[in-house]
Amino acid sequence: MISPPFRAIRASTSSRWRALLVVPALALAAMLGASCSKDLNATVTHACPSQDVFEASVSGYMERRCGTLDCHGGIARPMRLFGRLGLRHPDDSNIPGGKPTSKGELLANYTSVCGVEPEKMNDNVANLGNSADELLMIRKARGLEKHKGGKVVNEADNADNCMLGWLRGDKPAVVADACAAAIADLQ
Amino acid sequence: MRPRPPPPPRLARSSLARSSLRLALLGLPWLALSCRYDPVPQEIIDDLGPETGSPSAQHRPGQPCLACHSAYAGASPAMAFGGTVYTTDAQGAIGPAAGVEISVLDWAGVPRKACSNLAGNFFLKKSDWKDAAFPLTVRAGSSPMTSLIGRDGSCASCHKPTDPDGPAPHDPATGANFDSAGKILVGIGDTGQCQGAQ
Repeated sequence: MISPPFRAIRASTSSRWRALLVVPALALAAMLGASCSKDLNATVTHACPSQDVFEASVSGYMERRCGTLDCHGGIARPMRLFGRLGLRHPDDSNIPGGKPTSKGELLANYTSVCGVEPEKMNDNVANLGNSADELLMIRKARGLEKHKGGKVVNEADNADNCMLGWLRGDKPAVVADACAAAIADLQ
Repeated sequence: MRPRPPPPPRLARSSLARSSLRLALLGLPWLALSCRYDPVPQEIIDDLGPETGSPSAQHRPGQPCLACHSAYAGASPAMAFGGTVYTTDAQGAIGPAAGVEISVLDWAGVPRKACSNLAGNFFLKKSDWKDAAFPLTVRAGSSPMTSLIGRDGSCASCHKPTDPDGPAPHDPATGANFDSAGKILVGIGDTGQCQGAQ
């Protein structure tokens, strides 16, 4: 038989244990409830600068400089780029060096570049390109962030202006000129 | 004679320390090996299959040279750049292109040249080109490569055989596919133009 003081201790210990178990169980239940209540089909819309300008000017430069088969033209690489001189879209029945970059490939490139940092890209559009140089695609290209391909552009050179001009929403003709000059620099 | 006293506990501890040290020393090579293991290049090497014949400058044509001739795998010589060129004969059959000059220009404007050997293989040693600045532009014989080389010194990383599990090849001559530039083909007139292949 347990003497009264011992019983009291056992009771208080077991209630403490119960409390210890109940609290995480309730937290878990709350988390599960919260996760189940989410709409798994919900989509979030993020803004990205002009698709037309990207497809007309920026993609051409990025395909040549960034989208080679051994870099962002690799099928498994982040910011994957398709293009005439690199990776071809598997649905297009095409080969590197074959037909010009298709509409579908251009759209895939746009989606890919916009999707690197969707929230930051959204902010960049909202603040009219004032935070464009904080995006990874610029920081890596400038060599400010670790980049396996090294430093690709210098600040304010043609290639830098090509990508930044698009991100800032510059006039299409200005972006087109910068990108054409950047492509010419690669020849 | 008095019996010898038992060894003091300090000696027992020292023997324990010696055993631990021995174990640690035995484990060191394994630890070193496990640190060296990198699954990405290792998978590429494993997929190349076993050596047929003895290793030489003419071995493994069409395979990515720098997979093994690199700091990771340690095959000698370490290479900065390497690949295999092919040509077609009068019957249209593809074979190795020997004596083709491969010109490589890096982004710093430094030119390098290599000659293909009887297997069509060519390479530039790392010791001869320690600081190659990517991207590179390349010409094989009279054929300029239309795209840049971004970062990989192994031509066969992109000019690779068609993946048998992937979509059907679209270029039966070179094996080019959606993610492969196929074999490097040069004209028959480009062969035999370059001496001094390794």
